[in-house]
Amino acid sequence: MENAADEKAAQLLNDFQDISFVKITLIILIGFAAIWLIRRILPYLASRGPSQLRLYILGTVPVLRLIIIVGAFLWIVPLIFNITLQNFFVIAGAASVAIGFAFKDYVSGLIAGIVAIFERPYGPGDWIEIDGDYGEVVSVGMRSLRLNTADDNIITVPHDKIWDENVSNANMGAHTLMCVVSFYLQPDHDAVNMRRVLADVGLTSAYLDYKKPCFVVVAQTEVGTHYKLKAYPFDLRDQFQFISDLTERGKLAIRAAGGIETSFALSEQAKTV
Amino acid sequence: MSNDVKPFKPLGEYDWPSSPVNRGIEQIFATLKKRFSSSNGDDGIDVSRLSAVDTSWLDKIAAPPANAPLSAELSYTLKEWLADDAPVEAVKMVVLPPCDRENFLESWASEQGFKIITPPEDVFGQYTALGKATKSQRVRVIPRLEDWFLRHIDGMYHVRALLDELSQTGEKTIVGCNSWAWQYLRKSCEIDSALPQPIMFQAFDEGRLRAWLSALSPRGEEGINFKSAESGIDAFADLDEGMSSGDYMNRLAKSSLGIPWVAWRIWRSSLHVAKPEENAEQDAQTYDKVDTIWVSELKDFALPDRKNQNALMVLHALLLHNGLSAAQIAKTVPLPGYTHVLASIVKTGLAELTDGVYHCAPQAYPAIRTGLRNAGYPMDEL
Repeated sequence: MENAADEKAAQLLNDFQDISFVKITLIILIGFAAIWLIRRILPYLASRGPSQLRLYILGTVPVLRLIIIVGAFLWIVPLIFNITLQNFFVIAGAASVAIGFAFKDYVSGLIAGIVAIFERPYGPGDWIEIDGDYGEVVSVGMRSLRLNTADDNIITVPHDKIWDENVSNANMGAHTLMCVVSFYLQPDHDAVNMRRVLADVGLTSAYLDYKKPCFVVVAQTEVGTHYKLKAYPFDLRDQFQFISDLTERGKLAIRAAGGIETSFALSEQAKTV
Repeated sequence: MSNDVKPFKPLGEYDWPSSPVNRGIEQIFATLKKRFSSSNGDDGIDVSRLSAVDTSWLDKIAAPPANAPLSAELSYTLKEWLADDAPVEAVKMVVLPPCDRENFLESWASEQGFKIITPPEDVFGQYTALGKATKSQRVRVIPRLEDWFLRHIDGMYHVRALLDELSQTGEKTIVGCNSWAWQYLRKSCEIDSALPQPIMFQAFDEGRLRAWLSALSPRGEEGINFKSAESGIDAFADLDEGMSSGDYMNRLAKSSLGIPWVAWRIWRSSLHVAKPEENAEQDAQTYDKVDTIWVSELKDFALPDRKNQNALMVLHALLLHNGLSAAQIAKTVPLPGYTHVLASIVKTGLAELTDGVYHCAPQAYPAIRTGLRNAGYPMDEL
């Protein structure tokens, strides 16, 4: 009797005939279906619902997916394996060897994906710059995230970039982000008036978020007087229209106020693009 | 003080008839109910048998102005201030919701004999100081501050000069401003630092609407009945009297956001008469013989969403300025080169074009407001 119990405990896998493959298949299928539905329905609701709720709804997608995967995993493992402390070490040891040799990078990405959900350096809907690419996070998968750039390119970035790359997040879950528009002017002008004029360019924009600051920073540089107009659009999806609007009207206002933009600064900017 | 007169309250204390979330839920339920309900109530009428009431007759049963109860309320609120020759605050600020097409404050000031300050003809022109009120006029009134600026790089000069003058004046002055312009001027001109705390009327709940709208019609004398086209129940029926299913006034208060000119417009557009029989002669006499006005259900406007960004931007600018010409819209809204957005918002009933000026349609204001809020636009606050 005791031997039978010892044998049972030492057995790594459950008896083949005791494993319910139908049940396992169903759990996997239902899990996949739930994740598929979540990844479609929640972004749809986010795009149709109030703008203020969009990022909250999108942010729940990776969390719900993680919960479903962990739940399915915890449900399936006891159906296949005979879980004892001894067996746990055996499985963990075997898994460590496999991961260490064959799937190191993949598992690193998975773990970074889990860390990213809790640490939240980015989430769906955020505008981030990572490894030189700037765009909106359109989805956060288990191993990687997808960025949609301003030129409508989809870039897939593995989560394990967070181990050794800086991630610059422009909005951190907020519905808006700061937009900065630069103007370089020849130094001979009334800077006080110019600063006021450029502030009014921001304050009269149709995209302006009233609850956020709008201000102008001025600095003297080697290529001219550098004005930075900083303001927030009421919706971060309008950031490029907002920047274009500020640039167009800013140029007109500068000219009307007697300012002249420096061509040197423009050529320097062109070189860096 | 009469119990019916409700004084204006400080801005921010507006008692919305229904919260935005509740309104959304109620709208969903109302839509579902409409879709799944099999037929009209026993005493209702098929809407295909209804026709809109003639305007001349409409003016008899729902007569303008759309703001009648407010005059007495504003007079009552400002009674002590008006009587004081040297009040602590020389300026009184009155904020009103948009879409007031009848210019309530100007009409009221005119009735009182106050000096009305007209806005500049050209907001890009030179500013001239405000004239003083004569002894008989007593008070200066600027009915619409939104007429003093254009959201444009050169369009803020007048309103800023005006605020500079008002912030130092000792002359008694009443300044009116719409709630959307007030929020914008808080950001762009710090108006709340220059002028005192504004006041605002109290929301028109179902009780106030019932009392006001029923008083507009010659219901008692000529025996006109206002019945819900859906249920046949009296449209003025009171919830307390146990007729909640037909409580039209409750729904009207909620859908109009408690704003009288919005409610009045919705009310007028809901009034219908049964079409005369085919062989009957349809003339003015026929209308006079009508004893039942059928009140149709509130019209749903297609909610503008973010996909219709141009329309939303124009509607937002119209609310901010209370009305703009096409040339002014081109100056203040960054529209793409070629668009039919103005024609489109008029066609869908969201805006009205009068004498070359586009205005948001009062009856569509609740839908426009919801659309702008959902799209994340800066909102007014009451």
